[in-house]
Amino acid sequence: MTPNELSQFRSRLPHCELAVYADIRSRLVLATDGALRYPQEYLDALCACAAQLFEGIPDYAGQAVEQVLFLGPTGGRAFFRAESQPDEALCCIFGPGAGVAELTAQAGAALSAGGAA
Amino acid sequence: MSDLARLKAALRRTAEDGLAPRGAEVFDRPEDGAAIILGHVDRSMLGRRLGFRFDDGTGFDCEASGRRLIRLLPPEPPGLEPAGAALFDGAELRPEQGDLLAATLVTLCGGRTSLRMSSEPLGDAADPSQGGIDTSGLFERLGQAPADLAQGAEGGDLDALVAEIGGDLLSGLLIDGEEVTPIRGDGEDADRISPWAVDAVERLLAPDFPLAMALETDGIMAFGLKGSTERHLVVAGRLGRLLVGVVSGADPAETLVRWQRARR
Repeated sequence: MTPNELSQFRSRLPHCELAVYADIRSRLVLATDGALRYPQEYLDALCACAAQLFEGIPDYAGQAVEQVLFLGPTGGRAFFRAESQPDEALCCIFGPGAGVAELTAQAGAALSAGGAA
Repeated sequence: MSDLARLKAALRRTAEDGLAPRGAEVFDRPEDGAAIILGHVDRSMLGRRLGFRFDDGTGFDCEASGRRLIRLLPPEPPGLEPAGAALFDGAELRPEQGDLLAATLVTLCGGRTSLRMSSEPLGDAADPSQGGIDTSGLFERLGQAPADLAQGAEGGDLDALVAEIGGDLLSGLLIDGEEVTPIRGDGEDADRISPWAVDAVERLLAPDFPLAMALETDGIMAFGLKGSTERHLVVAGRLGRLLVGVVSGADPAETLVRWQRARR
């Protein structure tokens, strides 16, 4: 997923405050787009969180975790593993008013487009 | 939401991840300051080392776990009577010290108008699992209630979530400390969920996992599985109680929507 594709993805989601595309194996942030300018250590922490989830959470019935959605009272995080590049993931921070179903749909579309490109 | 409100919300979430210092919390009366301190202890389900710094530069550190204040760490802040200062010896606090502790927290906040809190997880070796003084009794001594946590303090939200998911909950476990209660424990999912829960919860509540505290205190995490159209997984927490479950259907977003509905 290119920085431009990431920016287009986030522009369709008004409650998505930060989108990061990262290589979770090397813990490397590949692209970022946010409502604020986040410090690198924060982006790295989000990337590390994705790695902890996708590399640490065990498979269930032989099926690997490919999507993790977290929600709390003040908002949430979403992590989507790229199907075509399993070492890469799209990570999002969103506010409490976000439509999670719309977020997951847009993420799926963006990752499919990015994979096909 | 205005840009300013959005900015504040984003900064608050950043602080919750432990990646940015929290802002100052202002109080009018010493009792209110003590209640702010206890509020942070009350939200510490996992073992945390909490640091409090007042506007005049003084402060103290403590350890909290399971909504209890476990110990006050040396050195003691200035201005305390000998009995209050003696509490900062690093030893585990005892219930009979509750009155003295509450009075000491009020004394510490006297003449000060704001404080800042910092937080870091305790390592596994230092993580206290019991002991210390429960915050509820300390709030009572201050004549205050932990308002933000009073509702659902018995974990009612998880029961509401179970009811909201209804028959789509294929199998699950309610975990409350060392007590584990199976829910709809039939079929192959009942056999699979326990070992998955052990591994997953260990990682999700690890001290170095940034969402651990938020998940255990009041949060939900749903897991979509590669290639599965039949089920997804969920871990929800409320004040130390956990629900780990297998939910029918492939869409984890739907379970988050149900969690939101269960809270209304």
